Amino acid sequence: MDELKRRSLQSLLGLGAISVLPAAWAQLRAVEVGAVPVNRAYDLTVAETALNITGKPAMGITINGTMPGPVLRFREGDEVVIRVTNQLREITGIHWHGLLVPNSQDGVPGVTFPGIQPGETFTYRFKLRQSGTYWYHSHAALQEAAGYFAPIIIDPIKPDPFKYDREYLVMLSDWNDTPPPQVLANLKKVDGYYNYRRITTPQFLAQLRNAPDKKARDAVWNDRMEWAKMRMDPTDFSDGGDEWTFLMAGKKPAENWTALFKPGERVRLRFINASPMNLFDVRIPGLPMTVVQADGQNVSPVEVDEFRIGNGETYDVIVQPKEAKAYSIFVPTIARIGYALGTLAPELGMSAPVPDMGPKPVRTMDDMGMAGMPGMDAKPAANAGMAAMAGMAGMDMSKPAATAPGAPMVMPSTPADKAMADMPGMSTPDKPAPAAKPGDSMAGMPGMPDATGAAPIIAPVDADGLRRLKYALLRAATRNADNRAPERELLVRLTGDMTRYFWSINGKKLSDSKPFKMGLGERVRIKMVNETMMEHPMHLHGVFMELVNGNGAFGPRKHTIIVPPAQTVELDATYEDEGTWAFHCHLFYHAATGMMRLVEVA
Amino acid sequence: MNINHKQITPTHWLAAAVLGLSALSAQAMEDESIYSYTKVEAGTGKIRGQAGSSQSLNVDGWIGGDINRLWYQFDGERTGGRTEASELQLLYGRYIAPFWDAQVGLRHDERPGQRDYLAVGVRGLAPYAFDVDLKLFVRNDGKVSARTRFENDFLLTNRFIARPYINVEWSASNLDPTVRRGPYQTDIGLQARYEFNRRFAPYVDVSRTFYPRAQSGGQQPATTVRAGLRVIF
Repeated sequence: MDELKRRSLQSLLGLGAISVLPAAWAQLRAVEVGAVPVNRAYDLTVAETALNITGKPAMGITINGTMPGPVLRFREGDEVVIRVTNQLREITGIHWHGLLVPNSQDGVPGVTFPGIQPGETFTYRFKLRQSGTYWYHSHAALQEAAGYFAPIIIDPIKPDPFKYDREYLVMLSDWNDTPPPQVLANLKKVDGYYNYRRITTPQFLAQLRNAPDKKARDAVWNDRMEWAKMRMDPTDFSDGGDEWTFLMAGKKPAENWTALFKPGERVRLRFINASPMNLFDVRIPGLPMTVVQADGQNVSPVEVDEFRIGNGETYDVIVQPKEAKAYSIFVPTIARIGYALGTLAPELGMSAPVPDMGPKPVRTMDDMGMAGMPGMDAKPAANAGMAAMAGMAGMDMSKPAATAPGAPMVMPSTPADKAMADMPGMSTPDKPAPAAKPGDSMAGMPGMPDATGAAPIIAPVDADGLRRLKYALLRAATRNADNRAPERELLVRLTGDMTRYFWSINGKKLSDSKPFKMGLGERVRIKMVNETMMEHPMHLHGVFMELVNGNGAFGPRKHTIIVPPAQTVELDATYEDEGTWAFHCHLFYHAATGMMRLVEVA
Repeated sequence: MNINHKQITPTHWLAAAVLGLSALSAQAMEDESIYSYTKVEAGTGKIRGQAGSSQSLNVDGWIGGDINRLWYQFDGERTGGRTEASELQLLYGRYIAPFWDAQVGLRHDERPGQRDYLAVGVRGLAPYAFDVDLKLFVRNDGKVSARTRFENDFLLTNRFIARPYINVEWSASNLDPTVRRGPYQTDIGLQARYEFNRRFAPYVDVSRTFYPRAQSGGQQPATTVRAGLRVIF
């Protein structure tokens, strides 16, 4: 913290670079992707390693001795070989998150292969059928949360349809000295074990006192009573708390991980959320970001000031800093319990002011789709499709998004905590729906990208002046190969018991459930309905899902999708690889307690 | 969905055996892991109007999975160096609905008299976040009694927490010559604790005990003040 204070002092005094900085800072210079060799074969060794993140030594799990592990850089079309040696005392398995691989190479112990026994080496071998930013991590127990993850870059055969001068990986993660199994045991012991950000009785009384009139007072009172009645906590945005440290490229904020640029250069930043527990909001104050890839897949460029990244998601953005000054890469968790931080700067040792995270978010009954609904009971969003809409003023209720893809709908600007809570298929008043974007006729052919020089879609401005990415703004750069209407719908209700801390799908934990079944080549609409009050970033293995967001055949291809509380998200998927695949919440503590299903594809 | 390699302690095995959790094998899914919770509150203070200091020891906990759990509870009280009350409950609990467990098991009193009971009840979190513990006891002589307990946390700050509670003992018949049908003992109290973290919290507890059905010459209402430490592991 002292270092952080010193940094702030330095920036206050305008003393950007100071020559007395410790030599270790030199190591915090980000490695450019260009300096990472492209390979076809890698040897990885997984082992328990003493790490010192917080000032106290603690055990973590590393790949080749580092956290994050080594970057794997491949070339699209290559057949690659990765030998993984397990030096842990327990079984392990590495999953290639977002890669389309044969089922036997997918790395889920007990599902796609028996797992790698202690002391053994397993050789993965597969051909790369895609390009983009991905990552890999353990899929055994809670090993990922101990630091067992790393990035993957696959260079495309044909260059990406956007230009940049240099590029960096920005891997986001979190850390707690407490071993992950103990974290889970604690969450099982006491509801909200780590949540010391609840609304207190004095705060509630102050809200009542400060309410301008009786109506407002009643609203405060009723809101509080509804939460109490439901036995839920409106501050429950993360299962974590103050004990966590948030890392960028494995470095904590005080270390000032720095990515260098020359003014005027276009810099590609490949963001990956490897956190087991926290979703993040990414911002670079003073620099607009142009989103060019989501989950490794090219999208029509979207210019934003902030985007939310769910666990397991990746976003590639291009920034073009024109001045020779430092910019903070500021990444608070959505619960605002802390932030990861790095710097974009023309030289080492510089830093920029760190913005305030803002107040800790509190969910309202509107967020839960509960506004004005009488007779509520302990099951919010029992009809979440309806419930979700009830919270949105001005929406045309007669046109559910699913039945009217691309139909322009009107929604109000959303504050930060609702950034991704928009309904698929919605656009905003000040911008036409993406589906109505000119140039569709050009882009209407499979494999035909949007023109490189085309002006990006500009995200609408929220009430606080920030332009935030919304799923509705994501549009695949090329037409999806499979445009068929779905043959059937698979309903996936995201359920759980927060107080007992177990999570489930359609009311059943993995251990109680039967696998979902999908046919090879069958077009299935996956309808996910979140009946809990936390965001769940849902990850489906072995296939890309095309988000039904009003962009028709240009629905963005996602391997992981955030389903906000009381919301419904629909995606279409067509499996081309047989086998039993995993489908789970990428909050790993949720997956480990039951929010996981198997999908049998035959 | 991985093979469970959590370290399993002898207590876990014991619990697994007690609960008949056959699923706990090498093939067990990790969402079926065994967890445990134990809260110990040890306090010392004074009952007004009585000589000597008064100590209390309360243990409350469970071991098991999400659905099946072995619950245990111990409540003891000493005043002036003499054990006034000592009660142990061992219960099988099953998750029957969100927030609720049904429980069945045994209660053994060592003091004031050696007694055994069959215990049946429900325990959970009622709307408005009340912790509720409702139990029916059938004593080995066939007499029936009940206990109802309600508690609620009020956060003065996120760490300084006031917990009012009310505990009522009911009897369906004359349990003893001094106890008549109805609510025969009521404790109303307030515990204020400071959570340094979830595991360690010193507390102060003030309670008033009433004996609504006491006959003349029977027990008189009394106020108890204790300070202690709450530990969760």
